[in-house]
Amino acid sequence: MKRAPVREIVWLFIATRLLLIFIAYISYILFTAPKYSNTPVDIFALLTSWNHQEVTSYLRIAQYGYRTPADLAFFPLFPWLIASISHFLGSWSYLLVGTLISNTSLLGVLLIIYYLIVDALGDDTAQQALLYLCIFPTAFSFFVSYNEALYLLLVTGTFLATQRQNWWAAGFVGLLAALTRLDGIFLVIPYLYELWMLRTHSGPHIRALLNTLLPIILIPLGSTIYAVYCWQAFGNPLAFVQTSASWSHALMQPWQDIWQALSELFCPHPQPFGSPTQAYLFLNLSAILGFTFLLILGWHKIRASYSIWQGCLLLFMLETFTIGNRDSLLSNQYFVLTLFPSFITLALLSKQYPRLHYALMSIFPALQAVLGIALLLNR
Amino acid sequence: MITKCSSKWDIFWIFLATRLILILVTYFGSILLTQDLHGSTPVNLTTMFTSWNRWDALVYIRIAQSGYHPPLDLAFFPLYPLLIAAIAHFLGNWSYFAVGMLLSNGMLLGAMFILYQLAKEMGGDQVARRTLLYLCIFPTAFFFFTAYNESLFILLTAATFLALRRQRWWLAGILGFFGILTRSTGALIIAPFLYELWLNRERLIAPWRSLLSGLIPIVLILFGLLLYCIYCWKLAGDPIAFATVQLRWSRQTSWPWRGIWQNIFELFWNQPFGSFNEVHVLLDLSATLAFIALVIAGRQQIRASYTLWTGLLLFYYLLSPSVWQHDALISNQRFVLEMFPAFITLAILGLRYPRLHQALLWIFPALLATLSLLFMMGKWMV
Repeated sequence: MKRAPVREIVWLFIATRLLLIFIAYISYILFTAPKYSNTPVDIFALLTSWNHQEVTSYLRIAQYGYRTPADLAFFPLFPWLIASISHFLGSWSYLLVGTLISNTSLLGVLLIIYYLIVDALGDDTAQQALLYLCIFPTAFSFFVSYNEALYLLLVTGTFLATQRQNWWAAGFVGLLAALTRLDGIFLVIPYLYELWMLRTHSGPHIRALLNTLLPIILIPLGSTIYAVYCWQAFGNPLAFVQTSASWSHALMQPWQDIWQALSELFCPHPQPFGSPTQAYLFLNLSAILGFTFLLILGWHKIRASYSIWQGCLLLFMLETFTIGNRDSLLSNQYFVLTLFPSFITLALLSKQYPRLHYALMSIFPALQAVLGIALLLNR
Repeated sequence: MITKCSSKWDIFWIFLATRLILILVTYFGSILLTQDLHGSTPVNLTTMFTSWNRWDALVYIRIAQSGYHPPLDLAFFPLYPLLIAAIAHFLGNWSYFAVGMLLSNGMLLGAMFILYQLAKEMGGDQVARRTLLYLCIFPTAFFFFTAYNESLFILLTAATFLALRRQRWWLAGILGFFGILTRSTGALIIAPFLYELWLNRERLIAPWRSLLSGLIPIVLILFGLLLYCIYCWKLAGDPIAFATVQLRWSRQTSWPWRGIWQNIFELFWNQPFGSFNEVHVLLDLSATLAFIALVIAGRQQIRASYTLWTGLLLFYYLLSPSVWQHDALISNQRFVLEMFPAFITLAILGLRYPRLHQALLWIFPALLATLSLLFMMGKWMV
């Protein structure tokens, strides 16, 4: 296996972090400070300017624990990790620790994805995929105290372990993933697929079969642990599913939802031009359609277990969130970040079509700046 | 030289892709930053695009619509507002800003075709493509999108250089004439004009007629300046009103290092961390220092007349800092857009150092979007 170009990856990591810090610095000050003045903005407010939306929920849970059933929608591993460190440092440290966990996890993600790709697709494609992941319009959620980076670290870690046939490690990391997000439990499917592909090797020996099959139980065990916690704390083991249902809608065919969004955008019942709903519909629909398209295009280009994982998550996303619901819209834009195989497909495509590469390189960072500033200003 | 078909597509592609970025920034920015997430009030198309009508754009449009109001307006040279007026006059009052924007973008496209030729001569197709790309995604390149005269100026100066390269002296003179009617710095093109003539002295001196046909067009450039001086004299009683009103923006002749030193002082000693002025100072200082570095780095890489042009422009802006403002180098981040040879140097450097190219590719658009939003929201002035 090829060694990762650690220097390149660390450089990408640091440069993208610095850019986000610089954008936060420029935009927060110029949007909030009195014009043409020497009066400084509140430095604490500047440093905590990313502390909005889900960040506040995670930090609150880390600091005070789960207080209401609505909190249960936020899975526990990320806030637990924050709490386990910040508990010793003091109440000032929660945001800082959350941000550090997020960013460190991203660095891990970049290294793992590189290892996942490089042998099959080469160094160029691997580095390109990492670049797209870092500049994707909602990639600032890897920078702030969201659980996306940690989740992606655990998901890619599970994939790496299964690819290396390190089944117990895969099961254990999968357990942690299931404790980080609801959809972590779907890791069972690519795990089983990888096992199925190796069936001729492990088939005849019972012991080997047990060694490969038993660890799979660990993944749903993650969700079970959380269910037990919910049961103990709120008397309902499935409270986290029901809380998530506050975003969700009655199960319907995925294309019905897409069709509904299309009809709201174009005809017969279009949203007024320039309305917030229209803007969010555009963002959401283009993310869903774009990633579905990438799933199809990447079907034979990337490892089958990756495509299966992508397919599962996309279906889950379409079944769980309503495209037209603004709260879930926000979640969807972050959600697609965890579809890491799509970034591999994108890298393959852009090698084939250099103009696509240039277009993505310009449009992704520009949109990341716009969406990042919107979060900074709590919009 | 005819631009090849594939190059044409490249130019169109860069132009359209960067326009698309700015349109997306306009659309999402004006909704996400002004409307409540759960609100239902739409932002209409006119409001979205008129959010670009700020600062100098307002002045150009006003001049186009109702003429000069002396003396302050005289700082804004007349060709750009004249062109807007020439078209919008027939379309009606509603059209001035739209025409201004269309002109600006159309001129940029024209400038890109010419720059492509100039850059290609320096380093081939790849350098030419990257020059255009860097120019269009540069953090302040949104000035090419709104109703500012930067695109017209870059079109005319680049075209003058192309004419000089082709030794079409009269054409260069005519283009220089229009250049000076666009911005005061257009007068500086006389220096590279003379330099190019000097390079061709052997061919020109022998028949005196050739010498005359090389030298007389320079008079045209001066004639442009003279015309505007006469206009200023008639309107404000001061033939150099366009220069004297610069005092209004605290611009005055100083030692070239004064502005830089003042900004360094402001940044490290005077401004508290996190002030509005600090950000301004930082951005203008970095743009200035970066372009000084590019002039130095490019002097062996690009044609001497290009270096002369960039050097003179920089020198001119450094000679007239805004000394009584905290940001003495105010507007330099916009002025550097005019220094097109620096973008050729950057493209050559980007080819030599792929990591630099990769970094610029995503740092520039992110900053472009950020500064565009600030401009649109009226939080930013350069």
